[in-house]
Amino acid sequence: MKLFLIRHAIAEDGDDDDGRPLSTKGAKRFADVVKTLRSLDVRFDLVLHSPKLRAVQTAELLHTLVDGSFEVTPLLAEPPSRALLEACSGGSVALVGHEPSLSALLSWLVLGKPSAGRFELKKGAVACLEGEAEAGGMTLVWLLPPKLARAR
Amino acid sequence: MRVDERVEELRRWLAVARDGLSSESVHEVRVTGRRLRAFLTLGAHHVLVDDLRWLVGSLGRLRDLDVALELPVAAPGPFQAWLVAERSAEAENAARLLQHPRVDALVMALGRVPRVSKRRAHRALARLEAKLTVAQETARRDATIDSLHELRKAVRRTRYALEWLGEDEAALQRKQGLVGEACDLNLLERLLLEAGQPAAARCVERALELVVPALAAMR
Repeated sequence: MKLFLIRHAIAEDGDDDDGRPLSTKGAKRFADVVKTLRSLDVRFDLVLHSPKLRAVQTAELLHTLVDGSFEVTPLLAEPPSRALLEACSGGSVALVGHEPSLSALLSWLVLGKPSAGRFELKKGAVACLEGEAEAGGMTLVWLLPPKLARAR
Repeated sequence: MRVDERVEELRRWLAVARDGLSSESVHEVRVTGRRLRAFLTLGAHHVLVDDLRWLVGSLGRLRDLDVALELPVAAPGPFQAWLVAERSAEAENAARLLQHPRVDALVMALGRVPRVSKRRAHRALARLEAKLTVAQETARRDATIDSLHELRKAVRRTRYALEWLGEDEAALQRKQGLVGEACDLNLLERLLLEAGQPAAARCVERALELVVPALAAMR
């Protein structure tokens, strides 16, 4: 399967962390990321996203790439878990979430250990993995920092 | 347009439903879920729509059985006993579903969906009204129970959208009620067949043959 780990785009500051919306700049920059994904023929069977507003709004921006469905899950607002991996069904799945959980998940899937800091996922970055969604079962195919999408 | 009051309503009914799955609580969770879906449609949102569809749809069988139990035909007897047993089994599934973490994540996410501008909402309403016109024309042309089911959905979506916009939806509410009666008869027919009562199901089918064309022709 293909798994796309997507960190939410740049959000506004605020006291209610769960309710911080994307900033205008964040939404605009992530639109460039979506354009790049489209040019790479990326499509999703399933988009799992965290319930926090910035992840909800980032997932919304992906809608033109979605052939299947969206699903909100609290598992993407928590450290990576087997339950999260079990929820990934389909040939092409996007996970829209937060740091440091996403880079820990990336490390877990590629290196076999969920250690944060081995990969850097900027806000709006996308990592494309391929293989079995289990510890050490995936290969990092590419990692798209948002700056690269803007430079296109 | 604000969504938080409706989300609070969903939260309250979910709590009641988790506390025993009364017929009213199941109905209200579904109705509130559909109203929230109408709000998302008005905002042209794609995210959370599937989650609401999942929640509302997962309680569908339980609601169907409740509707059948409220119909006069479900007087004490084998069919009523069958409905009660089916409901009991389905309630176990629904209780598990309501404990799913996706439900609370959905409520949390819905509670933070931003306001929808009136302009955007009216554009979405125009699309819903266009779909309603198509559904009405199809029902008039086909005069089938399937086309009435589609009409009922289109009426309901447009009605809830008007409700969000504070506009008059009384005529659509009446229409939804009338078409709903035929859909309930169709539900009864299906359940009678499922319960192994084909003769009774045929009686309902004949009644539907009289009712459906009249409702389909309704302006």
